[in-house]
Amino acid sequence: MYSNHSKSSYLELMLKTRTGLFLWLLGILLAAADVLVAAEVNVYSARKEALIKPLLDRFTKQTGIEVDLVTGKADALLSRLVSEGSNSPADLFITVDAGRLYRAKEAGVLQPISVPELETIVPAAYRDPEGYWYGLSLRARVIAYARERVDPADLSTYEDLADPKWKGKICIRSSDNIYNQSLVASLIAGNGEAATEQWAVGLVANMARRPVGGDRDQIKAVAAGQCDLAVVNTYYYGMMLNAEAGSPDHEAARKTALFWPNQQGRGAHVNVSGAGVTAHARHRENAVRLLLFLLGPDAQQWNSEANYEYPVREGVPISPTVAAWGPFKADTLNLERIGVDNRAAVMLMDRAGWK
Amino acid sequence: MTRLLQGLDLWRAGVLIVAVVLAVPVLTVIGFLLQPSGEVWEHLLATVLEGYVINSLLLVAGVGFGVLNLGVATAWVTSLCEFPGRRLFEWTLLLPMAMPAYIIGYTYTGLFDVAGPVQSSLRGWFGWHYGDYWFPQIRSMGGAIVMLSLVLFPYVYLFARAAFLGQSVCVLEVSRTLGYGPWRSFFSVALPLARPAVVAGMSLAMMEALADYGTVHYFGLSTLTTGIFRTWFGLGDVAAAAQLAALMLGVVFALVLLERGSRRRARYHHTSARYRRLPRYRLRTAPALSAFFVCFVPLFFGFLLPAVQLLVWGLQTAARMIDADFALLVFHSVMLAAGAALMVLLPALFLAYGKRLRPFRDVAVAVRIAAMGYAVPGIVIAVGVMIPLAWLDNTLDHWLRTSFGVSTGLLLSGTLFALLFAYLVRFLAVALQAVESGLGKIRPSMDEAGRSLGHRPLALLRRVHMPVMGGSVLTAQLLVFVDVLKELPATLVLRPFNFNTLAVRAFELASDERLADSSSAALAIVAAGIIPVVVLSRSIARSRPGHDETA
Amino acid sequence: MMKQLESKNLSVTLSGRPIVRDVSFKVPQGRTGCLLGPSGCGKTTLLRTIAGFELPEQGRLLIGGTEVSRSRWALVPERRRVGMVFQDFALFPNLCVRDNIGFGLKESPRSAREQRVNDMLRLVGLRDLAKVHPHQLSGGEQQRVALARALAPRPDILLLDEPFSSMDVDLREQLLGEVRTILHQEGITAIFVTHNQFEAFALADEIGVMSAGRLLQWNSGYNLYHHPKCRFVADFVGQGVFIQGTVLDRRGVATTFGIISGRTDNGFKPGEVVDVLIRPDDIVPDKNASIRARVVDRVFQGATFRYTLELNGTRVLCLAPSHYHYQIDEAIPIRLDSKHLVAFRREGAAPVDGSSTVMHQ
Repeated sequence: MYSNHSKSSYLELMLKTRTGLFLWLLGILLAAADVLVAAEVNVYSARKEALIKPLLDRFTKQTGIEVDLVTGKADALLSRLVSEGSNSPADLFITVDAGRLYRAKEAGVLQPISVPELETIVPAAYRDPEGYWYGLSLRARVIAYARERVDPADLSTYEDLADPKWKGKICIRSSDNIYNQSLVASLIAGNGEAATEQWAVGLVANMARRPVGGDRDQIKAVAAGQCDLAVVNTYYYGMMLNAEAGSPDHEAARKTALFWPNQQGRGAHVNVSGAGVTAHARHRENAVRLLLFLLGPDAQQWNSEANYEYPVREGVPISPTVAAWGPFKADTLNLERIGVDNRAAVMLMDRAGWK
Repeated sequence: MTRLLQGLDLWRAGVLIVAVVLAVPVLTVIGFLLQPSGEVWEHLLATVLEGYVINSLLLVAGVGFGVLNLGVATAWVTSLCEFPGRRLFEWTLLLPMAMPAYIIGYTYTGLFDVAGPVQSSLRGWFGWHYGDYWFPQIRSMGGAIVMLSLVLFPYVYLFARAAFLGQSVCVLEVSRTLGYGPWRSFFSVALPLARPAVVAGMSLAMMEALADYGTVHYFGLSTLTTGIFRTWFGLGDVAAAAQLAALMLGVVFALVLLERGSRRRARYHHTSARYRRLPRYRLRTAPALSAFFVCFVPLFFGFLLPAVQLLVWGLQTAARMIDADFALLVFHSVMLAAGAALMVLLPALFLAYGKRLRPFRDVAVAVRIAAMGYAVPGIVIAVGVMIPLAWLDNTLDHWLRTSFGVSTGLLLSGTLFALLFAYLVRFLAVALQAVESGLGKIRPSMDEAGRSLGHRPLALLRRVHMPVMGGSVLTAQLLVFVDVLKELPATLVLRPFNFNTLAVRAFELASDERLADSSSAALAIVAAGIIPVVVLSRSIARSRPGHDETA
Repeated sequence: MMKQLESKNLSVTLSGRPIVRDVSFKVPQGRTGCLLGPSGCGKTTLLRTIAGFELPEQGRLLIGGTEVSRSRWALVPERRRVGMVFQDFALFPNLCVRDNIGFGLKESPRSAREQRVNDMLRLVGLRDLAKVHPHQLSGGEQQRVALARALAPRPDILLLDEPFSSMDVDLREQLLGEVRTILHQEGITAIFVTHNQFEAFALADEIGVMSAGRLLQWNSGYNLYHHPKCRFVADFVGQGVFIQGTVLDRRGVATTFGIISGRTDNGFKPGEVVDVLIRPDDIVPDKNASIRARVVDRVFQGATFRYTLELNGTRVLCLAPSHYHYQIDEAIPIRLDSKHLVAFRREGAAPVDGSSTVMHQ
């Protein structure tokens, strides 16, 4: 058909045909793919989606980097990271407690990040000494007491909870829960294993009921009169206070108040929700950028207001609810210890009969 | 000219291979018994193991007792007495089967717990404080036993009913001529004759109770199932978790022996040869009223009350909870369940035909082994699936990497493959039973008749087998569909990330103390669960004495 | 077109055990043969081998002169033109009567198929039930459908496996007659299996008595009854007792009840003691007779009484018209009225060379 055209025109015509078009597009795509591949970061988060997604969306809007979020229980995620090995697609691993971050480090699924900015923003106690992970937000595990029945002057320390005067008056959740495990680990670090085991036995004797339910349940039990004291994370209390007026959560929170333990001593037990870059991250740079974003003033403030937590960054305004609880002295124990002693804590709780 | 084949055999080899593959999870778990016990196992042994075992056994025994009473009472009353509402109760007594145990656990906790509406109202009306009055603790071992009994008694109900109806009416009439009144006839004649069937039903219920995770976890009980979860994820020791699972299999094995033995004996207890309509004792007012309550109470507490509470919560939270995300969730769940149902059908057909075409002992044994999964708790299967698949993945990846420099990553573990495989292991029995009963309608003489009329075996498959078996195949699909939809422990562990099912969502929300929010997911599951109840109830309506009826 | 069936030295082994041993017989075109025997004798296996569902170990099967089975080889059932009616009828539950009957038809114009089905429906008298499904039919109707279905594709031979065993007596009687009519009318070569000799007598032209895998005698019902070749056949077919007798001379045997005449020259010596078969119809009440036997038992059978009589310590059966009404312990005059001499060498005694163990008239 084209026999009467010259060779060069033949080439021109090919470029105009469908084949040519297709080859063009392919070329463009390949060029673009390079850009596209670079502009993403994969996050494995034990933090619930609802609590973190808004921040991630904001990050994407600001930087154009797409965030692929995978949520699950921290242990399952960790298990997965370990078995995925170098094939893991994850870039950033976010947990809701320091113990799991430590475990992740021990399992070899994180890599150390040494960025000066990160080190200045996050206080030493709330990050891994070698830079494997960084805390993103802070929460305390405190005592909630029944306003009507308990005089705060009778409260003092965690250790005091084992005192027989509280017999049948304490509600606390199961030893299954990582927050309790971390609290016990911090006690082991502070008082030694033997003393802590004795304390745990005393605590179990003081329990009003076999551990059931979560932290919110404990607060509701205090409000209902089943017990007088509960040990809970601060943000749960915050959520309940800000629930719909008249709802059971709100009513229960109103009947209780928070007490900061160990203020004369080492301080209240705190824990962080934190993150670490994975050992085989393919988008390392983007992961670090995300870390920095989450530690930025805006993100820190949003988190405090939305989730009733304390920021790790200094000088960030906190939610009014949280502010109302007043300043407190926090345990300066390096949270790495919580991870180190986790398994010992679990076994200790088993031995003490803490279900 | 073709040969009649005998001997070397793709069918036989195929069936044996399938059985071995399906037995891998159980074999893996048992294999861990050979591993030396580590520090964690020693710790478990010293502290919580005894508690796990005792609690599991207590739960199983309690549920056994519960379902025995509820199941036998309702079965007797509906099969042999006449009272107002009997016809309705006949099939509605199956409705509790549509309720997964963990959902009924959440519902009752929400209703009856210390902070719940019932107790709060009581305290409000009477000015009581906690501790002034006694109220049963829902979240306790007793509560768990009650929950599980309420949703599992239909197993015993079905089996006992089949046994009672299958008894020759003559046997009961003979006992009357020998001077035994209706009550004595029941206890001395009917009940002992029905015992094997009742025990078979009880064993099934007890297996389900043993395997339960959602309810016991929510109620804060330490059983073998929660122990396995905690050891695996809490202490991070897969090997110790597998050893716990192996221990659990011991209990399962005992239950399976009990059930199999009873079923075999039940066959010989079928005393009727000809069908005769059973005369029903017409009850006078007072006995009729008690009969009505005997049936109404389990139905009310096992289905009606929780269903209504869920509906109320559902309506309250609908605006908030039913959104695009929920639709996606439903879509995922339905796709997964439908996919699993289809996937289970092929092996079921293969095994059923294999057993029929090659009636050899080793084939029959292989098929029984392949179908054992129904007795194995979901969490045990999850352990037994995860470990070999992860090993396979890593070995394959390593080999490919060293040979070709190509990394395949995780192909099997952590993908839907692992989950579907676990479903296959656990639910094959359900599909197999339905397919076998359908195949049973096609007698071998029909195959031979078709061949003598000039049709090749494959043509017979299309023209005779498929139409006749169609109904049973559909039933098999439905049953597997609903079972997968309700399944919790294995799904929790094996599901790919960001892949949630309705069961997982309900569990997570309830664990997060958002009971009302979990209701929409729970309602979806219950609604789906009603389908097999309807299917089963139709087979009940057509039941005839002497007709072989199973759950 | 119907063909002849021939079995030559057929032996069939199942699971290592020989079930059919060296069986030979022939069913000519258009005739009905029967395999009769107690359960476990191998008759059903033999039938299934004819159908092509089992392989012979040795021997041959020919249909219409063409070999269809031989040692370790058989033409598959779908390719043989053998129709079969099964004991449980094996009707396809998902198809109506019409579709069941038409299942084996492959004629191409649909009208030809429909015509054939209609012919079959008319043959078995089920035109009104053409659209009905099997589970709605009675036993007799199901059997007729099975028969029609087997005959529709015009097979070379028809096989029936215990076709009446699942029926009650009246239905059986009725169907026996109908089936016989159809078989003769259509000139069908048929062979059926049963343990019930009355069915065999009623339906078959020739009957083969089988025991432990062997075909003992292949003959008409009459000959089997009156000329059984071996003790088993004598026992199995009809009723009777063996009594002691002494060979008199070439022409008879003497018994307590009298002399029975018949040829005795096939190896039996005068004076030899033999077992003589006495059928119930061989003893007749005769008021002029000199012999009196005592009535030990009697069973009323409607048209006849079956008496058990005793004489000199020997017992026999006697079938008498029921207007001969005798009481127990009565001594009645009887006469031996046997036209057939059936005597066997005593058990354990060795046969003389070349002779048989039985003599016949």
